[in-house]
Amino acid sequence: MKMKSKQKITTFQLFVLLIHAQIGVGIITMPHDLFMVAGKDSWMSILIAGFTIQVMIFIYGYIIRKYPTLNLYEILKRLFGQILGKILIIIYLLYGFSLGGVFLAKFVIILKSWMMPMTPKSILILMVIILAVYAVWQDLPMIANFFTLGMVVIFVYIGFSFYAFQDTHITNLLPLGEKGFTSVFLGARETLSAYYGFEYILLLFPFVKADPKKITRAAFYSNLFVTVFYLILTVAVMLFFGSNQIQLIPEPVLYLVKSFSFRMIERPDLIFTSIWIVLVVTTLIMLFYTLTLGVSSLFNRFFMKRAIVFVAGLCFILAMSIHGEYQIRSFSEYLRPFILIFSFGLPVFIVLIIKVFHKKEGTNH
Amino acid sequence: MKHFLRIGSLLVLFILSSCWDQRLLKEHSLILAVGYDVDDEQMIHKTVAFPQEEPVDPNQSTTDSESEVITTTGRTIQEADQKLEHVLPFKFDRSKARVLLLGKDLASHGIYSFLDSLYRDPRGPLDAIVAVVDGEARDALFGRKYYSLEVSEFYYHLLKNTEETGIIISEDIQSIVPTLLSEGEDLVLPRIRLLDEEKMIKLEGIALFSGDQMTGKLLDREAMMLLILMNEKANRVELNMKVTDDSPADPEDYVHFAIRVAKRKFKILPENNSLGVKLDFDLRIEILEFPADHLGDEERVIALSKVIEKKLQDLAQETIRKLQEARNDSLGIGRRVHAFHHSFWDENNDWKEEYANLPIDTSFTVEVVRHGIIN
Repeated sequence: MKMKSKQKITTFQLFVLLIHAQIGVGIITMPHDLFMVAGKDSWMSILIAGFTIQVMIFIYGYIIRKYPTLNLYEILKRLFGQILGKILIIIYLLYGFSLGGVFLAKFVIILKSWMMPMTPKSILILMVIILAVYAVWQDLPMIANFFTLGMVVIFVYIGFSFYAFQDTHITNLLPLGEKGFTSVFLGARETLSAYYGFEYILLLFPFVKADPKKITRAAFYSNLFVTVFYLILTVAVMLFFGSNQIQLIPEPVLYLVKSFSFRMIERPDLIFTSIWIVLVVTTLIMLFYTLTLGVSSLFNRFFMKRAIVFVAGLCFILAMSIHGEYQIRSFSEYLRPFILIFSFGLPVFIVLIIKVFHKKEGTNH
Repeated sequence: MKHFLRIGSLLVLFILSSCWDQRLLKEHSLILAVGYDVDDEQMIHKTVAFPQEEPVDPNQSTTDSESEVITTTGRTIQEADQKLEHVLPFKFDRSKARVLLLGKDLASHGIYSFLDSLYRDPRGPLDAIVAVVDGEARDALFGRKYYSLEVSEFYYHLLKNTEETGIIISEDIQSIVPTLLSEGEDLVLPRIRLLDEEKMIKLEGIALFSGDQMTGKLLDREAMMLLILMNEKANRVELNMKVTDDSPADPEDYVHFAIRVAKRKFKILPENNSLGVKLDFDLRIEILEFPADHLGDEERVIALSKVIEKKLQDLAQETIRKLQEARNDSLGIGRRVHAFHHSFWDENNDWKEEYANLPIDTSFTVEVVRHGIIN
C-alpha cells in the first residue's frame, strides 16, 4: 500500500494534529473526574501522566526508527503475519469504534445539559459527524491546516483560566499529599483517558516529511503542550471552586466560565460551549481518520472515501445506543484498561519483538 | 461526488436552523429581583419583581420604572416557581435576575437548600447579588422608596456602590458557594434593614454566617473593620474615630480618615497544645477631616496615629469577639490551619468550637501619609 505523496505534512502540522487529537470532550470534565480520585493533588497526577507519556513517546521513537515508512497497522501485519496481524487490527478498530461511540454520547450529554436540551440527539451527533466526514474526505495537510486555525480555541481556554486566577486562594491546593500517593497514581491513570490520542503518532508518522528524530521531538512538544494546558486548567478550576464545590460540578470548566459575567457578554459559557465544539470535531476527525486508515489497511486497499462513511455510520449507531450519564460512565469504565493495553502494552510488546527477532523493515517474516 | 456534496451541504443547512431550542423574548417575562422567605410551617414564600411592560409615552422623557411584584408559596423553590406559571400569563425567565434577597428567618434556617435549583439550572443567574434582609424579603421588594429606579436596579446599585466605598463586600450567587461549602471558611453577606416609618431601605452592616446559617451580625463600623481584617478592599475603607477623652465631645474631638494602603501579615503560631493567630496590619492613611487641624507638626501627627492605632485595636478586638461568638470564621483561619497545620486540623474534628476559643491577636501600625490640601 503506497501513501500518496501529496499527503505529506510538516513536523509543525504533526504537532498541531497531536494536540487536537488529545484535547477533546475530556477537558470539560477532566478536572472534576480527576479531583474525585486524587483530591487536592490532582496537579501531581497530571504531571505524572504527562511524564509517563513522554517516556512512551521515547519508546515510540524506537519503533519509528525501525520502520520509518510503515504505520502501526502495517507494522502489525509485518510482525505478526497477515492473519494474526489483521485480527489485532480488528480488535484495535473495535476499541476505536467504542471510543468514538462513548465520545459522541458524552458530547451530546454535555451539550444537552448546557445548551440544547430540546434538540434531538441524532441531530447533534450528525452535526459533528458530517463535519468530521467532510474533513476526512480532504487530505491530511488540509486537516492539519484546519487544526492550526483551531488552536485559537485552546488559547481562549488558557485566557479564561488566567482570568479565573484573580480571585482565588492558594491554600485550596494545600496540604500536599493529603490523600496519599496511591491516589495520586490512581489519578494519573484516570487522566490517561484525557491524554488519549498521543499514540496516533504511530499511525501518522509515515505521512510526515522529516526524519524520525524530528518526528519524535514534535510528539514530545505536543505532549508537553497538552500537559501544561491541562495543568493550567485544573489548577484554575481547583483554586476557583475549592474542594467542596468541585465535587458537585461534573463540568467545572463550563461552570467556571458561566460564573463570569462581562459587561458585553451575558452568558459567556454559551460562547465557550460553541467553541468547545471545535475541539470535539477536531478530535473526532483524528479518530475517524485513524479508524479509516485501519479499515483500509484491513482490506489492503487505500479507499478512504468509502471507508469513512462506514466508520462514521458505525460510530453513529454506537453513540445512539448509549443512553444517559450512568451508562456512559460504566462503558468508559470497561474501556479504561484498553487504553493501557493499546497505548502502552502493544508498543512495548512490538519493541520487544523487534529486539528479540531483530526484525527490520524490508526483511520478510 | 459533486452531487453528494451538494445534498450534504443542504442537509447541514437544515440542521443549522435549529428550531428546538429557541426561546423568544416576546414569550417571556424577565424576572429581575427575587426574594425568598420561609414561614413557621416551613413553607417557602418566593417573591419576584419584574418590570411592568407598559407602552411608554413618547412625549414623556423620563420613564417612571415601575415593577410588578408577585409572591407565591411552595415547599421548595421549584414548586414556588411552578406556581408562578399559574398566575402569570407568560413564561417567566429568572436567568437575568440581578438581585437575590434572603429573609432573616430563612437565613437563620440555613440557605444552601434554597439555592440548589439555581446552581443546577444551566441558565441560573449566578451573577445576581445576594443580601440578607433584616425582616422579610417580600417587604423589601414591595412598596418602598426606590428613587425612581426599578427595584432590582435599586438593590444592585445600592450594594455595588457600598462595596465600592468600602462599607461591605458584595457577593454573588456563585462567589458564595466555595465559602459556603468550605469547612475552613465562613460567609458574610450584606444586611439590609427596612425603616418602617419612612418606608426606606438602609444598608446596615453585615450578616455573619456559620456554615449556611446566619448566626450574628456586625454593625457599620465593625463591618468596615471586618474588611480590614479580611484584607479585602481594605484600601477603600473610611473610618471615623474619636481621638480625645473629652466629654461631651464636639466635632473637634474626631478624626475621619481613609485607608490608602493596607498590608496584612497573617501568622498562625503553635501555642502550647493549641494554636494562636497573629494579625499584623500596616496601614497608610489619609486624613479627610480633622477640625482640630495643625497637622504640619510631625510630632502631633505621630501622636495622632498612636491614638488611631489604639482605637483600631479596640475595634478589631470587639469585631473578632463578635465573629467568634457567631462561630463565623470569615477570615479563613480554618482554611489556613487545614493547609499549614494539618495534624492539628485532623486531631480537632470540631473546628467551630476550636475557633471560638482561639486567641486572635491583632496589632496596627498606622502612618499618616497625606492630610488633604491644608495642614
